[in-house]
Amino acid sequence: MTRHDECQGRRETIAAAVLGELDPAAAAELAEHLSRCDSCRRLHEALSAEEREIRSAFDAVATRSDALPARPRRSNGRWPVRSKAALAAAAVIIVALVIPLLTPHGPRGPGAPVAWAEVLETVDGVEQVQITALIREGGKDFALDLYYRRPGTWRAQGMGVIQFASDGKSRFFHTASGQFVEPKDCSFRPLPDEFIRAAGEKDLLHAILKLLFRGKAPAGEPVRTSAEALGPGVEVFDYANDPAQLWARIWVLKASRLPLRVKLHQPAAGDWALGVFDYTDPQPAEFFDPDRFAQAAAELSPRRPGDYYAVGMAPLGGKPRTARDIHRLYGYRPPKLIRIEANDLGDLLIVSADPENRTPTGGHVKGTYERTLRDNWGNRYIQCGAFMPVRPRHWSQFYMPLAPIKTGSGPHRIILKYTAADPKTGRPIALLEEPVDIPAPTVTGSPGKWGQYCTPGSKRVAIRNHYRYEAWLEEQLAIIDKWLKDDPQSDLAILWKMDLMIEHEQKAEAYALFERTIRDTLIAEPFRSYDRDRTLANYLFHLLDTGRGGEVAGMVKGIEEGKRRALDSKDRNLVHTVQHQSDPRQGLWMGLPSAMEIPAALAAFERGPKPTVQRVVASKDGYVLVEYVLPETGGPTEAPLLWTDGRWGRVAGMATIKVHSKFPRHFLLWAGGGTEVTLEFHPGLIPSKNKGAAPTRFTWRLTAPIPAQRVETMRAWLAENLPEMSWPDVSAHSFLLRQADEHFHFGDYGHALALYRRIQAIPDKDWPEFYHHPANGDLLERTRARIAVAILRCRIRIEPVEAVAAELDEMEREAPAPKADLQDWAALNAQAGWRDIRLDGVRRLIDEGRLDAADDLLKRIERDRPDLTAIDPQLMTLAVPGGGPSPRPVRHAVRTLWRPVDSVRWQLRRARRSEPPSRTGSSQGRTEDGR
Amino acid sequence: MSEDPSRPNAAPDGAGRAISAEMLVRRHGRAVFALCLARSDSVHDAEDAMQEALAKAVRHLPALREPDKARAWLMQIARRTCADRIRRRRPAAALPEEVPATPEAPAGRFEQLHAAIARLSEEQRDVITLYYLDGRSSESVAATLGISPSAVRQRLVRARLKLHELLTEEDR
Repeated sequence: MTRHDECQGRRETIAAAVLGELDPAAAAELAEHLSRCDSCRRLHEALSAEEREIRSAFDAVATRSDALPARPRRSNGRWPVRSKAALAAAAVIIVALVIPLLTPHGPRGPGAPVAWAEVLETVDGVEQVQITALIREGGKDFALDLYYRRPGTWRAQGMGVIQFASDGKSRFFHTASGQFVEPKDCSFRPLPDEFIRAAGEKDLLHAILKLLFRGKAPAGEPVRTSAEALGPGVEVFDYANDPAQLWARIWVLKASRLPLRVKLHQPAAGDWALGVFDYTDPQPAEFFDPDRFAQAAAELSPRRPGDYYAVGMAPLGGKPRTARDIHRLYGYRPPKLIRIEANDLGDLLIVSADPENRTPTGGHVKGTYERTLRDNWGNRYIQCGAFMPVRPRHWSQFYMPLAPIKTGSGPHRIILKYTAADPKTGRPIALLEEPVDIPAPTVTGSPGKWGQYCTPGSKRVAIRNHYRYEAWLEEQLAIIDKWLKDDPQSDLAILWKMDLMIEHEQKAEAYALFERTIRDTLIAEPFRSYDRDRTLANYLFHLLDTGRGGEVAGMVKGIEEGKRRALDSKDRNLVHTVQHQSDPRQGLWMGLPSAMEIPAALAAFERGPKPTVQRVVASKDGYVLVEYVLPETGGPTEAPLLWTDGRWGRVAGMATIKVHSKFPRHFLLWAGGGTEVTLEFHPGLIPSKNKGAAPTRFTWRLTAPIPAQRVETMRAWLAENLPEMSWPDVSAHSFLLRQADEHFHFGDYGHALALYRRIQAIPDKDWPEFYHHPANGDLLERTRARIAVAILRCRIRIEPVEAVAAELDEMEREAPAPKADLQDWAALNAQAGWRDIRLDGVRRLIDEGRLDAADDLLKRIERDRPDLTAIDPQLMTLAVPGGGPSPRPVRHAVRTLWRPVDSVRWQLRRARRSEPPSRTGSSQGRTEDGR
Repeated sequence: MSEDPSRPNAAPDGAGRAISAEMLVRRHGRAVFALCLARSDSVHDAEDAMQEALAKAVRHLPALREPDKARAWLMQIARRTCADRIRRRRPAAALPEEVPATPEAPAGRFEQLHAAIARLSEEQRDVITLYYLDGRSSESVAATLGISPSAVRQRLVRARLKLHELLTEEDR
């Protein structure tokens, strides 16, 4: 063995010695070696010095973490935990951690022995104290916050009551009703009158102890004890008449002579009370003033009773304590620019101070500039990655300009923009739009100090993310095509394109592209990035769902091999990433660990119980009834889809009834016929490693014949054979509407049209009460408008397209639709409904191969397409009256509502590509894309 | 109950669950924090996770059938809490809090150390944080993790050397 090998072998011994984990004999041997080996001695010295730093860093963070619970973070003036047990936990944390902080490591250090008289005297000298009391009584826990302000003023709150006491008089506020109540109406009174009188200007601590001992304080003084001292800085006293019944322990900080906590024990009853004293958080006079409180409380709602507790509370350490305080004191504030740097590529690093904005209800409001900024030369800059902390409350944001980059004359300025949504209206408030000079480049490329988001890879991801959510489909496809031209195997471009294809109803084509290009690479190199893993997992689910579940096992084997190769590699970062991503506990949300369990879960499903069809009944008046039974445990549990009349779908006007008798019985009733029925179930496979994961759904089918022999009428058969159940009235409005929608959904436009017309003919007065209820706004009007659109959509599918389209044009000429308010989701949706009529026409024309006509009609639709980039990303839709979608970003809503148009546009583009050459000739002058 | 040795001689202990919860936190709080720190992106996250885990533990204390296994039970709660937090965390970093600077640890020093620890394997992270935060003894770490002291020593020594490499990486 060479000297070098020998020393390499000693590295672990040296580390063990530094850690104090070496036995004496080995330590002596090592010391002898160190005396003659310079390299080992240097390592020992380096590790020892480093060890001191590590220990001191850990000590500091431990002290910090110990200290924090002493002032638990409050969201609204109450403990940030809801249950009483959790309150107890919070108290326990305080007790366990505040004492060590203040004693052996505290700044005050041990003091001289404390006399009880000194404690009483010192307490009488404090101006304010807050006592957090946790009480267990009769097996129940509750908490109280007591605030004392000299002379003789109290505010006590807890259990839904806030008590203000001064001059021996009390007022009580009920948080549940949001008002002051008479003392006689207050079932819980935190502080008794006699206590308030006793705890006046003097003998505060004595009064507290007397209260704890229910008016009968023990004779004599508390006696010093060595129990639970927890360190030289704390003196402990016990106070008891009969320790078997009731006794108290009091902890006093020697340095200040102030009590830190008092704990009362009632051993016989098993009850206890704990009071933690805090002298560091004085409250202003108005906090104790019930009139000032009443004014502020008038603005609050009893639906959030916790808000009352924080009323009047002073900002902590000069800073607002609650979200409501922050908003009240500051409203919203823009971030403050700290510095800006540029590189030779035109990228910018902007460091700003976080304004700490919160909504009145406590939500976070972003504290950094807009993700997209503009300069005075007409360039757009997008933010790459997330913002990064520079130091507490300072963040760096890295921006890159979007191509093509324009240059101008004069000073080059970036316009810093900050917008926050108005908490009442949801409308964006522009709080800052300030031009700032862009400095001359001071760095080349992407220096490490600019953080992890300015690498070429991150920039590409940022471009993808930007266009993915801020651009229409065509623009995105143009970028993807350009990237693929440069690199046909670019996984970012392929994954992006796949996402778009799946979004636009081309799932099979997306996975065919995947199989042709990057599938094998991803299988060989799994667990490397979220995008890759997500796609791979979805691909496995897709195989399962399209009847190719048998292929999954082979893929999973390949992924396992890829993972093993990565773990065997010398690349430390790769090993760490693979370990992290493939850990089901860490990476479950990514889906790949779950997807890899498909083969095992599928095998378990095959072995398990399945639903069975009990009977199928058909009637001569055109109905079919299926009764099926789900297994008692396990097996598919969702209502199935139905295969009938050559189509899959939910059953038109179907009645699904579950009856829980001996076994769960289910019935399907629909208007139809045929010779065979197939139920399609979507059972979920639950990954075994984490029961909390979302199940992986796949398709499982069950087929049964429809008997040729039919009963006379279904109604009579049901009455005779299943009298215990109530069946829907087939002429009822809701049944008709649902049936019409189902027929439309599955392409039976003739039948749907007849039903819609029948519903539209029902007079207003005969519509159910629900449609007239004021709480539902103009629901009837909106429903009629929806049906009108549905009628036209049916007609354009079965009548001549051009004729219906012309009728539409005429209608719009006569009654032009007002420009929809972008925030009015219902109006946007209604607009989309009218758009869908023409879109259905385009679909039909494509199906019939009339591509030029389809193109013309599509152009008519495109006339109304809004400029997505002009919509403020902060703009939110308003809530829909009478329920419906909750507010969402307008830009997202617009994109979603225009998605079908993009899908059809892409469909047309593909149809043109596959057009025979002779037909292509008829479309002269068009690009390949049909644009 | 004999868990509270400090009670007055004459008084039977009647503090019940409150004392147990207090003991639980007092005895195992640092270990919980260590485990949370090993699985969190920052000290702030670790503190939040610790509080959440301890609150959960106290809430479910009656379900603890074998008090001897309290530490293992608490560690399991802490692990699950951290996993849950990772799953539901938002993409943007959490708002930081003011970190009071102390002479022993200038701001940023621990962040640098924590960044290096984050690059260790999970097993090594657990061992390192538990060792430095909870007693600095391999026996104590072994008891917490339910593995042998020799295995802990081996992991600890290797983790420490790796940490040294990571901490000196930027200097090289």
